[in-house]
Amino acid sequence: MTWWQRLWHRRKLDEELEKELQFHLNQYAAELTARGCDPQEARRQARLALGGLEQAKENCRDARGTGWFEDVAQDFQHAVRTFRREPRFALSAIFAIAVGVGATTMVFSVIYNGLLRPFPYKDAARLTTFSVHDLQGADVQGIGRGDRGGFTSAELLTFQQESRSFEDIIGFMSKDVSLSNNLGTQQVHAALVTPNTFQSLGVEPLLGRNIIPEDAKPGQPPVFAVNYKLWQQHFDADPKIVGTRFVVGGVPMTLIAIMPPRFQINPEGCDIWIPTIPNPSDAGISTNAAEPMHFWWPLGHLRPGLNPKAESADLNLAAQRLAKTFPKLYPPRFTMVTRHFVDVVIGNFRSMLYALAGAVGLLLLITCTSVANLLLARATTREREIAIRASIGASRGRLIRQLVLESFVLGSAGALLGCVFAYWGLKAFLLVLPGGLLPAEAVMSLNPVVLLFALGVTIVTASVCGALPAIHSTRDDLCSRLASGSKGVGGDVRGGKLRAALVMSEVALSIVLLIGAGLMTRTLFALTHVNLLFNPSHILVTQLSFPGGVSRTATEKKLFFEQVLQRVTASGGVIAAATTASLPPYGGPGSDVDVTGGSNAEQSRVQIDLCSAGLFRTVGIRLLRGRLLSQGEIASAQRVVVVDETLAHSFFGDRDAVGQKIRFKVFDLIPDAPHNTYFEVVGVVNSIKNRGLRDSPAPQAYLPYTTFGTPDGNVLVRTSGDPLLMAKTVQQAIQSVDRNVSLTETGSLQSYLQRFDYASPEFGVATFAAFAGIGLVLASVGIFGLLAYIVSIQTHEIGVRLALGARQSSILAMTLRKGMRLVVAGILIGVLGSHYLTRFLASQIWGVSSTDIFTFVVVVIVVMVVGILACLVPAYRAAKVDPLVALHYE
Amino acid sequence: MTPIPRSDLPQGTLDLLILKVIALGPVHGYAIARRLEEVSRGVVQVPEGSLYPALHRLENRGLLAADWKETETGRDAKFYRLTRKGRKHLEGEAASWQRLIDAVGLILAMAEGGGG
Repeated sequence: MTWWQRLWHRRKLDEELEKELQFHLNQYAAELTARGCDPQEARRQARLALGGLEQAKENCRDARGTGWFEDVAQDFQHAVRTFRREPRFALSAIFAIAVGVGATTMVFSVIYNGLLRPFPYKDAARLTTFSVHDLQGADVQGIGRGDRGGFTSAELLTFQQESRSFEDIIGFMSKDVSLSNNLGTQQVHAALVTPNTFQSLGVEPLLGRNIIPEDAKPGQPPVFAVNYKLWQQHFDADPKIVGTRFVVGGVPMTLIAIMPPRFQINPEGCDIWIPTIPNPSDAGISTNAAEPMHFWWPLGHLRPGLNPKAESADLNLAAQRLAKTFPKLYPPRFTMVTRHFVDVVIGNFRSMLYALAGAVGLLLLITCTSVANLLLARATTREREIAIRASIGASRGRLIRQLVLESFVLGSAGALLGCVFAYWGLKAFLLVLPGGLLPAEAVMSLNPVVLLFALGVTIVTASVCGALPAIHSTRDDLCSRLASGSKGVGGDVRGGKLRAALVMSEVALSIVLLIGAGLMTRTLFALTHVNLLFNPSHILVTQLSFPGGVSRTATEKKLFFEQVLQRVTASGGVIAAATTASLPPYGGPGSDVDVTGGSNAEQSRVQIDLCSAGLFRTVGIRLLRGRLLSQGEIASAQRVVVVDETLAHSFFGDRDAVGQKIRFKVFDLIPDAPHNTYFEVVGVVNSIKNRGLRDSPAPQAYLPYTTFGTPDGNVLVRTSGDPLLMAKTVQQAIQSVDRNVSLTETGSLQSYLQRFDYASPEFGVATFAAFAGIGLVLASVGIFGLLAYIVSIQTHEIGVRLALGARQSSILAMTLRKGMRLVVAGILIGVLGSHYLTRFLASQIWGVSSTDIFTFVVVVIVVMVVGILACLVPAYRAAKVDPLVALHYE
Repeated sequence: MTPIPRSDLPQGTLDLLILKVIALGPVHGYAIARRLEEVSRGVVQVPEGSLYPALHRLENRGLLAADWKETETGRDAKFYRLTRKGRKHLEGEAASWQRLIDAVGLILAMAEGGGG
């Protein structure tokens, strides 16, 4: 019989044991009786020989090896019974554990699913991308020349063939195309992918067959795969769609696969995937250097066990040769750098996730402390029970085991509730989480790994919470405790010191969380109050995309925008309208420049915007010297440029910039841009923020939008009223000029700021504030609980004092002082700790020092006030003690 | 009647004796106790309190198996018998016990004052 069977059949085994021993006794007694013994006496002797029936049974049960388990089961039942008797205590402990375990589990789920295992692809941990890193790097103004992560077909093919450090390299490229079948036509985001993509990533399609490299071979019928979402939304999840014919971007193609929901590749998202062999003769130069849409983005599985040096050495070799063939594509001094795919997608948000993990860790500590505190409080009131149990033979180990088991019972209940909290918390988290910060492939869920983590956290929590009070309350000899009949007379509060220390740490930990939340709030405030150097309100933004993703020539663009702007400006409520390539506070792609009559020092990089004449009025940029771009200059695409004062100052110093000439080197890379051409500076305007909210303005140049063609554009409209009310008018104007132009996004400039610049700090504030708030509540409950307990056991002493003539106010002050001493000590420790800990938040805070005095002071005041409130109720109760009742109390 | 001097059982020998008694044929607990007493001529008295735990321990280790059968007096009793594993164990233990006894006997038979 195995251990399990013995445990399972223990009832039956007990019965058999009883029967067996009874048989033994009967036989023995019968024998003794036969020898002439009195039957009664015979049975007694038989039992005596056996050493007592119950004792023998117990020994036999021990032989089964299941005894300890039965003990634990008994302790468990005992624990459940005691908690039923004290529901208020049990519920608050369970709730606190649930909050700690739930919050920790939630954050772990986000980190695990979003950062550690976001991709459903084969060997996703080794998925790596690479880019060309300019070693001359950032200039004085802080504009990096930027890394180039996109490559031309020729480059991609070279890397695919020559890189030994990658097992395989795939490439993808965004392209907007029209997708039509007999039911209709729509614009979709496509990703051209190298034919090896699907095999390399190892994802099977939901429906249809996988795309294999042979599918893209010349002469094979063209095929493509569709995104799950598009399939659901536009094809009503019809499985029969697989195998049907479409026309994609003018080419007949067969849909052969529906990909599962988590298949994505392109971090910006796409609707369909078209296997395409890179064409080595394709120059692949984009007109928009910020979004080089004609570049292939590489992604590959790095061979296991390589160090970063070996990776880049291998890529460098190929890149150096490419730099000789395509000198314009490479900066003079560069190196290849590799980055894990997940880093590319998550970027700076990683440090926010780590900050969150830290915060939730602190919160978990607070919950542990407060549960330990609760258990300790309970243990002190149970002293006599424990002492009695010890005196009737329970060993210290057994007592500790029982107390720890009690905390495990609480822990299990807390963990269950915590998983419910985590489930809903995760939903709330995803609501406040701005889009695009985590990989689109990531699915936030409570999967087995996350649940296992929750279990681990619970076990640690329960052990920490349970062991401390258990060891503490079984420490002393029991005589003294049995002897001291009442609980802690004379102010000798048993466990008081330990409990005080716990409460102090709770206060200190919540201080740290609150200061973190405070700094985040200050950051958000600073960001929303940044002076953009222009007024962002009353500006409507419409982003549009020309049909088929085809780049429009300068002339086509002119014909289109001239009419659109005319119609928009003519409508009522519009003050000014303009087209621009980039949306403030971003100033467009950068370029190295040559200038005449100025210094071509280190800071030779400027940001370029292609705009119409109305931009200055629309955004509110003021002319300082010279003149603005004129309608005529724009219509005839004159080689003129308006620069901002930062540019004028950095390149021309005190000399007048007007009349000087600038050559933009990036244009040499763009086929239909004017090569080797100097633009004459006609005017100087004031600088506005052009590198986002956080950085100071960089040199900026405004060129006529007719300088060369682009695949897309924006229309900015300054309105007299609510900009959103004008959205329809602007859309109609655009559609009436060209029905094929699609509007990708429309909204107020402020909503753009909200989405791209405020959303992430807002998220930080929301999560930190939630954690800090919970922490503060737990800490104040801890203060309240401890003080109430002290008052309750000192009722007698207070009664004596009052009877001897102490005033109520002095009792109140005395109790308050007792509580506030802890609060103040906690505050001091917390402030000191924050001073060191907030530096880990440095990447998340901006515009405020990580040791901002204002934040520290406000937090200290808040905690003081909360502390006083928490102390006030017990203190008031102490002052209201009736001496008579108190003296009769014991 | 002079009481027969009794010896305490050395550690671990109880199991061996029990196994040996059972090796003679299926037998119930009470009979084991009596037989041990008889065979050892009263020298070895098994403390009955430890007989049953020992039986159960041996059963759990798979050295013994048990069946409920009727005794000749028509009562249900738990009869123990040796398993194959138990028999092997008994042989091993008995041999090792024999070696020990021989060795101890040799040492005790040494002539005093000799040697050294």
